[in-house]
Amino acid sequence: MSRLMRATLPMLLAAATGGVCAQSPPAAEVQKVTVTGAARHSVEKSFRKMMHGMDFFEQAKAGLAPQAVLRFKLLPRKPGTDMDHIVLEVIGSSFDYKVPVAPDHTFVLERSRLAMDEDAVVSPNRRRLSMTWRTDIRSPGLPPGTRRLGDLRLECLVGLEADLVSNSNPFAMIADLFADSRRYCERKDAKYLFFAERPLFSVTLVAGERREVLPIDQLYAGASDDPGLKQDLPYCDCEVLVDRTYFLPLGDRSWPDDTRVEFEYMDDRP
Amino acid sequence: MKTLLSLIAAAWLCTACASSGLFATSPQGPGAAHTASGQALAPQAAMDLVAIGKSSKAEVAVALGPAVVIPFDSGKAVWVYRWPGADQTSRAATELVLLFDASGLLANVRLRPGYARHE
Repeated sequence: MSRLMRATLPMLLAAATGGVCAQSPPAAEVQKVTVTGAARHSVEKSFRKMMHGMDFFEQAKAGLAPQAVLRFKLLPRKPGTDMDHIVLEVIGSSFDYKVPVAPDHTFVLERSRLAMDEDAVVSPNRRRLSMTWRTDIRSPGLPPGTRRLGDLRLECLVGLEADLVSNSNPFAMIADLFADSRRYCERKDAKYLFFAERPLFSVTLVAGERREVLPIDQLYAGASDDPGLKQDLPYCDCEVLVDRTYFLPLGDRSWPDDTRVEFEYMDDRP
Repeated sequence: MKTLLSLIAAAWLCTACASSGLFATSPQGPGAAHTASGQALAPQAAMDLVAIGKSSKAEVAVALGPAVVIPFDSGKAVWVYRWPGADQTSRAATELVLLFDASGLLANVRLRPGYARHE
């Protein structure tokens, strides 16, 4: 087992306890939903769980990111996945409607009593395991190439609450042993995979006078110390985004929520 | 059965915790910068031996020894050399990180200092 798998196992379990990995739902859950045609093979998510994530965002934002706005984001998971012209639908047993997807592959979900009652799915027209999902939580006014740590802490929390992480792991069977997904994001060594806009060269945390470049094992899904990474990549939703991944010290409260996360990209001029 | 699974999972999680943020570099293994004659190189001395836009992978390998290599599907690659800090955490380690473009030429480099424990 690679270090990536060991390190992210708690995150996988935490994600699974927010429900169950949406890529491999239990049979009982599938039977509640009438899913049509291609949706059966798509990379769908539970509308209810995404609403649960939105509710959690509204509760938690005051403490972490009071000005932030929540969107959801689609990301490629397999080579060759066409990320343009995605048709995203909310599908219940008696209705379906389209959800607009922005050019940056983000979208918002409107609340719907009917979709909740019918336990609808949110389904893009793409094959199973071809894409993954994340939250995209941003406070206004940040310079380009930067993020805010409090926003990213909230992304972890809401992402797990909404059951967005699409790792296809063999450990879901013991997931019900772990009850609290929120605690995971508050761990100093939390291995929640974030994805930058472009391939990364470095990530720096800045809080007042304090400035630290993340060590290399916090980039590229920990590849620097993980000779077994390649064989486990098919199980990771970072499979085609390894050069964009980074971990953050989410639970290290010596870094305040206003900490600026600065990115240097591979294609930046040195 | 549930108790057994709990114990297995707990042991696994402890393994994950123990491995997180720690690393080991043997003096002559990948990632330990040294000259062709085996003499250890200090971080700045190692950095002074490479040049953006000029150094190739082969030249860097000769000058600094084998690196920890992270290849990407794009053809780009990151090479890493490390010097342990006060403890064995990656945070305390000094790192020389080199980015090679798809043609194998050095495109960027950084020397990251190790950081002391933050109080």
